Amino acid sequence: MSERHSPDSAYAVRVTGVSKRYGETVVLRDVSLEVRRGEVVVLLGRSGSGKTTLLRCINGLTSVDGGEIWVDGRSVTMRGENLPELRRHVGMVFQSFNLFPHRSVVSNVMEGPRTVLHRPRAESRAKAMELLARVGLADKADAKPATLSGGQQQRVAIVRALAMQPSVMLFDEATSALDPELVGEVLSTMQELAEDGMTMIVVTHELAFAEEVGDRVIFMDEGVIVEEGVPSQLLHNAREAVTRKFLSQLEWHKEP
Amino acid sequence: MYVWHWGVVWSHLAYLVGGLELTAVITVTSMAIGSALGVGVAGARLSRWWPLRLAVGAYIEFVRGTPFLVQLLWLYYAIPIVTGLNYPSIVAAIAAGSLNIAAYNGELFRAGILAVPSGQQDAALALGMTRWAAFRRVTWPQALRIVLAPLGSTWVGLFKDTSLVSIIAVSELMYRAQTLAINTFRPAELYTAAAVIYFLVTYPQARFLDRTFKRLSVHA
Repeated sequence: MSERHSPDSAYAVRVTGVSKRYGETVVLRDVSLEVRRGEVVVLLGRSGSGKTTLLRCINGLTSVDGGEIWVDGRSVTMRGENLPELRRHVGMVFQSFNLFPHRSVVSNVMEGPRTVLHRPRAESRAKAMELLARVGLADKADAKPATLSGGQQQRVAIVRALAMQPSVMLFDEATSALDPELVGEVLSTMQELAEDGMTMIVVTHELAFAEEVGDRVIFMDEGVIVEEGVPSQLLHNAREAVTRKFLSQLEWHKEP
Repeated sequence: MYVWHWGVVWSHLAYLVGGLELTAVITVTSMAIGSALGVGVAGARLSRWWPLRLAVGAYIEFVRGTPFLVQLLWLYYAIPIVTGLNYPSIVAAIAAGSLNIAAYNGELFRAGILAVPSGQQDAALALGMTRWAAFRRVTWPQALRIVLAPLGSTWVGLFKDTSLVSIIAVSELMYRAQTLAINTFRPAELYTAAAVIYFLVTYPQARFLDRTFKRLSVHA
């Protein structure tokens, strides 16, 4: 398992036996996961279960202590791997949006193509405007991110990632920082993306989204994958008690 | 009751005000060189390599822990004696100013960089930027906006502190006032004039910087 390119490219993402610790705290232990092209995998688990760390390991924002990760058949975890080059193909959306506050909305979307791919300004702008129009935000192109609602900001963050034409999208609790009435617009953008065939790994607490959009749901607890299955099975007929307990608590917090 | 004789100021006003030229040269040059070095100082302080952090930390503490006047005299008198190098007093003045600003602005820049949320760098790296591109395009522009207001204070402080270089005979405003005071026996008039000139030049700068920087940081 030491070759730089994994032979099996049917998988968009392969995680094998990954572990990660911060000092004494073990965050991930022997986590393995395979995501096929076009698949939408939903990661569930309470905070501190390792979902976010796993996501950050997949694009190399966090380094692993053991195990291996491949994206598009290319190693993320091997020494000397060109992470910036690899991350071009992996879009990421953050809980706190992380839009660049000093740039306009359209500049945010152009930033990847301009700085990373060195595309011409006019071409980048046209592409950015097209993407913004797709999420209904073309009229906000010249606004500063701070003047947008949270839901609008997150949709801009999604198209900023899409502007790089990634082969995989990672969503790290993309709706957790939003007011309840703004969650829907972001989830429907994510759903459209899934319907377009995007490979997605989604960390979320939105069970309805997991059920409707997810091809597979994975439940994590204390750094291990407890169980996984198709949404209808895992969400309604979980095998493990810890999963059922978590789901019942989540249900209890859900808006009617 | 002291009788003021302002005639001595009026007759030498052009010479006195002409001293502002060197005051400005020292301020602008020291600020430019010091700020450029300051970015390096900030980078070194944030480095993952501890010997570099330690060395630059020692430099900062040395500059902050000794008077500017001592640094100036040391650069002008001690270095030439020890090394045999000879340079004009204006060079010593600009060197002292630059090394000072490098230390203070270095700490300022470091604080600014640390004040930018780490999610900003995450987002930049996630787009595929190199660490350097992420710094240049995302972290640094935001850090600079955060420190603009204190940077304005550094500027005004430096502008006034250049008066200290009169001690190594750099012919800026303060040196000229001093020379005239001694030659005309009119220190009251000339030092008052110097104070007024400094204030008239410093106050508008302070107000201008304050207002401009406030506006810029609001639009950050």
